[in-house]
Amino acid sequence: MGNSIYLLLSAFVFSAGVALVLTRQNVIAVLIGVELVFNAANINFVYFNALYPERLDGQFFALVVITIAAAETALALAIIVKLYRTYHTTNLDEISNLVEE
Amino acid sequence: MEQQPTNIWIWSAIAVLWLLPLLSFVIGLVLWRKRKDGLGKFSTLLLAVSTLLSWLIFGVNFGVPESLLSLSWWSVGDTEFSFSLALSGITQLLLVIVNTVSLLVHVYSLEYMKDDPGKNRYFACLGLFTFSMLGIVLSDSLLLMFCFWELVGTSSYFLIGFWYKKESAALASFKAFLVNRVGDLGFLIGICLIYAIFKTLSISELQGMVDAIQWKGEVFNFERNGELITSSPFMFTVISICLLGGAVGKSAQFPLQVWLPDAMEGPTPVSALIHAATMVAAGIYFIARVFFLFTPPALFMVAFIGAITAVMGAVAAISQYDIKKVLAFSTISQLGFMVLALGVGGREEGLFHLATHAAFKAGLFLAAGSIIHAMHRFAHESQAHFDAQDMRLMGGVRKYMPTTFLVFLLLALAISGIPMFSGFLSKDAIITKAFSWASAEGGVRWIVPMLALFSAFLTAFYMSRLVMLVFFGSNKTPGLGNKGGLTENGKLITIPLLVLAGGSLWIWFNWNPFGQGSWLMDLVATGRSTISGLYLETTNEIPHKTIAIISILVSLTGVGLGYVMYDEDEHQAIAELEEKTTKPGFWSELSFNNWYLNELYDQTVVYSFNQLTRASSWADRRVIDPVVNLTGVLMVVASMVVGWFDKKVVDGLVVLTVRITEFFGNIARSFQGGAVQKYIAWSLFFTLLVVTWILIK
Amino acid sequence: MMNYLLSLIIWTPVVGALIVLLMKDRQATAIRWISLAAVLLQLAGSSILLFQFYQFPESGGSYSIESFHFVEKADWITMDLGGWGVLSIDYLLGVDGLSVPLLWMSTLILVIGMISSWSITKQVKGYFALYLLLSSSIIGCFVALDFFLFYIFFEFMLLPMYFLIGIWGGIRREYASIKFFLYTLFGSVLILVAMIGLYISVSDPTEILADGRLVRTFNLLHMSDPANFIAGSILDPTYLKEWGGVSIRSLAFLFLFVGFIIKLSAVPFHTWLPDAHVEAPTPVSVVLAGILLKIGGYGLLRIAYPIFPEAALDYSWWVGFLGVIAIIYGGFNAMAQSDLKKLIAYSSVSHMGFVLLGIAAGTTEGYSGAVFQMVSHGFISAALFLIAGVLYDRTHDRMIENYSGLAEKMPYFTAVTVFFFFASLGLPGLSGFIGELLVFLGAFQSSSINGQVPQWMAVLATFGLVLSAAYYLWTLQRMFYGRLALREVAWKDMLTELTNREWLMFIPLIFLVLLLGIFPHFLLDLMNGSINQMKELVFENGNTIIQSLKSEGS
Repeated sequence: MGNSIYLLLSAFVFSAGVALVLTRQNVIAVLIGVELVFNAANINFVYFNALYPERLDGQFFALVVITIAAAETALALAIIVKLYRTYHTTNLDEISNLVEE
Repeated sequence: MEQQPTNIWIWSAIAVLWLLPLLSFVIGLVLWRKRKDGLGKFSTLLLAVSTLLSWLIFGVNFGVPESLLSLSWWSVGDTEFSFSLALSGITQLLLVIVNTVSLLVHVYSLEYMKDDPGKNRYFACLGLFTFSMLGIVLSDSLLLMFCFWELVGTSSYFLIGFWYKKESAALASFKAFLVNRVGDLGFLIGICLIYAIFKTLSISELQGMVDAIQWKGEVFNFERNGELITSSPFMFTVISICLLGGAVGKSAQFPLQVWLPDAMEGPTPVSALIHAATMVAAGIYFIARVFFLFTPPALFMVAFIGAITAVMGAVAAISQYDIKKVLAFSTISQLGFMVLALGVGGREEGLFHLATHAAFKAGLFLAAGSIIHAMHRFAHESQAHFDAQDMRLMGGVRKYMPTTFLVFLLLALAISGIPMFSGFLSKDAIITKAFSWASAEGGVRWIVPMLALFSAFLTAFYMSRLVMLVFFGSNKTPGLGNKGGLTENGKLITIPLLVLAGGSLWIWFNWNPFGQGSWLMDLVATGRSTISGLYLETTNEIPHKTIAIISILVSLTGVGLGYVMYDEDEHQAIAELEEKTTKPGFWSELSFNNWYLNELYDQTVVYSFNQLTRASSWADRRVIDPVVNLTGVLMVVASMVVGWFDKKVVDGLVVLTVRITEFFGNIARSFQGGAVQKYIAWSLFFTLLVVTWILIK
Repeated sequence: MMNYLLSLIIWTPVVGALIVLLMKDRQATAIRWISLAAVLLQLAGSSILLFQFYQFPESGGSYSIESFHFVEKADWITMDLGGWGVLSIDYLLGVDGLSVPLLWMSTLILVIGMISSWSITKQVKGYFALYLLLSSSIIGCFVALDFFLFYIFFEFMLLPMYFLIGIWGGIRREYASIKFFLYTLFGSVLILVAMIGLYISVSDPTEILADGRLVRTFNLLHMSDPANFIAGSILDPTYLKEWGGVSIRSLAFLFLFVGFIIKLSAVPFHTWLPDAHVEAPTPVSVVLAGILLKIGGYGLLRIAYPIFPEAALDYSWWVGFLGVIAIIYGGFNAMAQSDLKKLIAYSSVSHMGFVLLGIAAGTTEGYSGAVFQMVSHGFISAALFLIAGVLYDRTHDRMIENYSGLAEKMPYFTAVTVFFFFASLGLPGLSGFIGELLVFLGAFQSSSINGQVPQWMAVLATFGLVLSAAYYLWTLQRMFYGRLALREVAWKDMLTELTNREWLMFIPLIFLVLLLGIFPHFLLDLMNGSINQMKELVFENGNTIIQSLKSEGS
């Protein structure tokens, strides 16, 4: 039970991320939520890798995820900028059309 | 019995004399609308050559047995229909009669039709007629004969309707053709039946079969190409009666005689040629040719038809005032006489009468035409309008037209059966034959010779009435007193008249003016077997002298009665008497209206014909068409029902499906509101669902 | 080239039609000449065919592909249907003595119709293209020896005909064209049903697959041989299948029969004819009466009779009866008409009755008479409709009572009319007579030879001669004789004599009617062999089948 603190943390971060994603209307906030979900996963990776010290798979996955998350964030920000230019808002409720109106 | 080897010269002469009138027709057809005068003369010339040739053949080939010329024409299946011609005594005689009368009529028409604008058409039609009439005469094949038979009918149609602008002429030609057609059906059916039984239509082949006939109790056996053919006498009677139908139509016998009086609408020379001398005699010629096929019952019928026609025609002739009508009814009566002769077995006597009648009746018509022509001319000169054919407007013509009078008188005596003329010889022969026939079997057959005598009496009577009304007494032509008068016609008209009058003397036929029969009868006799000859009837020769005396007495009574009744003064008295009795007598009305046959046919045949026409037209418009339209309407109704079904039921199902889909679709659509967070929430929800499911499992 | 002569004759007008379609509507003259050239080529082709035919020996022996000439055969549709066998439809053409006269007559009438079409000015391009399509499908009908191919051509005729009447027709053209279309479509459906029945019952004896499966064929000659019917199939002649008390073979025969006599316009399936004729423009009437009616008669002789001989013999009484009814009924109806074109149409109904009677009689004379009558009626009725057209072109009125005394005004036209009226009423020396005579000879003989038609029918049929004389001569008397009287004074100037173009149409017809009337052997020799073959086929096969059915029944 002593190690479950990490898992609890991870679950907390995940929940926070999901809550952010589902509730916030600002795209950037949603993006931050997504990042939190990523980080929750990273915590899990690192923690489970620690249980098997002779292997490095988890560490690597964590690093890959971080890298991809960075790239993804860059991409997402670019999309957001484009969205903002198109809709003049970052409010998700107002952006519900896939085609231009 | 043996047939002569085909004589090339004779046959080429026949070909020439036959085709010359056709040439005349063809040229006439080409020049039809051209206003050239030469055609008539040219046609006459052609006819003269043709006539000369036929006389030559008559002389050269006299007494030579029948010879045949058979060319292949067409065949169907294994049966060959050959173009076969026969030359025998009867053919030669008819060739001479037809050509001579036709030539005389041509000559006569040169003058008579001089001023008619359609005379090229006229001569063309005469050519066609002569050609087809010669065709009838020459044919050995019944089929060929039928073809020419119809062609003469057609040329007669054109000539009756020659003045087509006249409504009555057009109507008369229509009637003539139609009535003839009815008779021709009989001919056609007869041909078909003969063909069905014998597989041949050649008269000479049929004659050959009849020669070799075997009489086996109830049936006849024939042999043809080694094949045995069996037929019953009844079938022969049927065939004979059918063939008789053709003759009844063409020769204007009872009950089809109604067309001939109307046919007088044609030009008078045409009436002389076609409706007196030749075409109407074709029926008699035809029966004579196929006489060997007739059975006794059929001949019995022939005799009665002939006798009835002879009397009916003679009665109708009595009260006519149109000079041509008198002659027309007289023709009907005389034709009846010939048919009667055939019926009593007097084939030769009938043909003899045909020959003599051709001369004197053609002459009578031409003489009447001569008067009519003079009347027309006078009407034209004096610019009066009257009926040129009404005898009541004539009278005393003797003084103005002596030649015509002489001719007419001679011919009237001939037709009345006065000795020294041809008519006596032939009529006497027929009456003798009829008496012999009746006395052999007796019973109801006695009616026939009695009717013959009666009609001979009537003939003498109406002819003398005609002569009295036209030639004697005072002239009654309007306007004749002050402006000249009728004048005799030119030579082109009088010469044919004189020729025909000369031809009606006894001397050409029998040296003895009171003699029995004529050499002509030997010429036309075939000496072959006949079906009726198989039935051995008792013969009973009535002494000729007795009959001759009776018939002379009868004729003289007729002439005398006519002379007395229609003598000027007497006639006046009678006419006054008639005027007093306002209602004309039943008999004279019956006679004047030709026994009301026209009215009878109008009421029965024509009426039912029209009714049938109306009925079938009605059936077409009111039954068949509505059924078709109803089908159409039903189809439309059915399609409407289907349409309704389609719209409400089939479409309804489709719509229902759509609604259901839509319902679910709407639900599904709500998942895709475009709200990203909703997507995420849902995906999360379902992921959790899946995870839960995995965990529970 | 000779080997493909038939194809050339069929497809030349299609090529012509394509060319016409590529042209512009205002090039009317060129369109006309091209169309005329196409049908003239057709006529030339069929004339070569005709003259070649006179050289051939008369066809004898049994009825098979050997009795045909100019045969063309190509596989068209072949489909492997597995256990059901192989479906094979051939492009099979050929002509024998039966089809050649009709073929030649049709090509001539098409040329004459084309000349008559010269006066069409409305939508020239469409008209001529349709006309050419029509001429191609007509010829196809006469030369196809594959039932399927025949049916295609048969059906395809409807389409141009429908439009030709429906667009270029008179006032009630829509009614007439739809009536025509429905009538003939109804017939076609019946034929189709019979055709499908035959298709599932007949196999090709010459081709059997290696594995023993059958080749289904539409070949008419194979269908005409009872041996080719598959045992136990629906139309198997060797044993009786009944449906509601009627043998299925008889039923199939009746379907074919009704289908064809609708085309032949026999009573009671004739009422499309007068309407179609009255509304159709002159050239279409000419083609309709001259050719289309004959396809019905041809179909009977080529298809219905050889394939179902026993049913044909069985029903010959009714066939003859229908013929007699048509003769009399059509004649009386013609009497009642006041429209010249209708009168001629009903006279066609009456004359086609002779065809039925001749076919029913079943003798050589009867068959020959039927075909002769079809050919001669082709020429005569074409001319009669041209005559009606001559008047209609001038005054736009066809009512008999509106004319009187035309002989005075138009003597040559009257002469031509008289000629063709007499030809139609059966004057000896003109072609109409020979056909009717042969039919009568056949019908009167029938009762003593084969007992097909009783003699009273023949006697009744002769009455048709009186009727035709009555209605034609009455018309002559009303329209042409008497004093000149027209409904309108202005017509007096309109009624001019025949033009050269009109003479051009009449002269060949006059010549042919005379030729066939005086020398009928030109036609009879041509078809004698084939007619005999056909007669023998019908009677031999028919009697064999009847015998075998009887022995089975007992």
